[in-house]
Amino acid sequence: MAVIGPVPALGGLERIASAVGPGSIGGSTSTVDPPAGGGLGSPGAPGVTGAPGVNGSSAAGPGQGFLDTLGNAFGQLNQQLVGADASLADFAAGGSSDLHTVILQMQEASIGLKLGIQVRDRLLEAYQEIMRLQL
Amino acid sequence: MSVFDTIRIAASGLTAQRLRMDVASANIANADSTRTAVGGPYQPESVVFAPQAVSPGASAPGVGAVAIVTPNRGPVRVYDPSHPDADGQGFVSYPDVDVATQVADLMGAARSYSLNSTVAQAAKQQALDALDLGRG
Repeated sequence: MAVIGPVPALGGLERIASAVGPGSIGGSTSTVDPPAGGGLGSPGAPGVTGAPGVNGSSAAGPGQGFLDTLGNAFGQLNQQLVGADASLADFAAGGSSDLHTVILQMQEASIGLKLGIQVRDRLLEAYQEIMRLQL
Repeated sequence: MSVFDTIRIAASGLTAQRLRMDVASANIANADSTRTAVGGPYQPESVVFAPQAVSPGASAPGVGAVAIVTPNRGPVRVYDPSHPDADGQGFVSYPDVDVATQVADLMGAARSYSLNSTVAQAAKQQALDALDLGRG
């Protein structure tokens, strides 16, 4: 049941990036640092052009950008939550799904959401850490 | 290998045991059914299980019911001429359901169900423990 609450709230979150898969945590945290380091190195001279530089590097980066990866992961989380919601609605409407299927799906979504929250916390931490840097 | 594979394997076990309980309860409920749509007394059923992959990349299979079989067991003939389903000699064909065996099967299914639920619980706890590593 607790999972149902976050579902609507997640609509907005989904765009930022959320339900990261198990492997993605290591991948994402390790990717956080390099772009940040690169961004910091280049704006050494001009503070203003530093921001466009960061944007450009992440958008034109080779293959998938970090934000894309994160976005996909959050999309997956959203799907999990929506799926849990749908199966609960189906169960409540007298559908054919088993009670344990609904409960376990909700548990999976809940764990996925917790993982997404952890990733968001790490991201915010990294961001704030960088913002606190003295130039 | 997804974190959720363990949970899904346990869920497949839960579904399988639910089916086993359904079949056992159908057998118990129909222990005295003397007529069916296909004719003759009710035929007791049993479920056949086999390993089944829960997701494409899963490292271990879950379980799935592959068939519900009706072991062809002759009816138990009981003399009861007043019964509407009695044959010419006054014998009624009852299904050959051994209620004690069915109840034992039911208990086994219930135990297996809670065992699978314990597995799901452990898998969930393990995932939460892993998440706790990232805290603080």
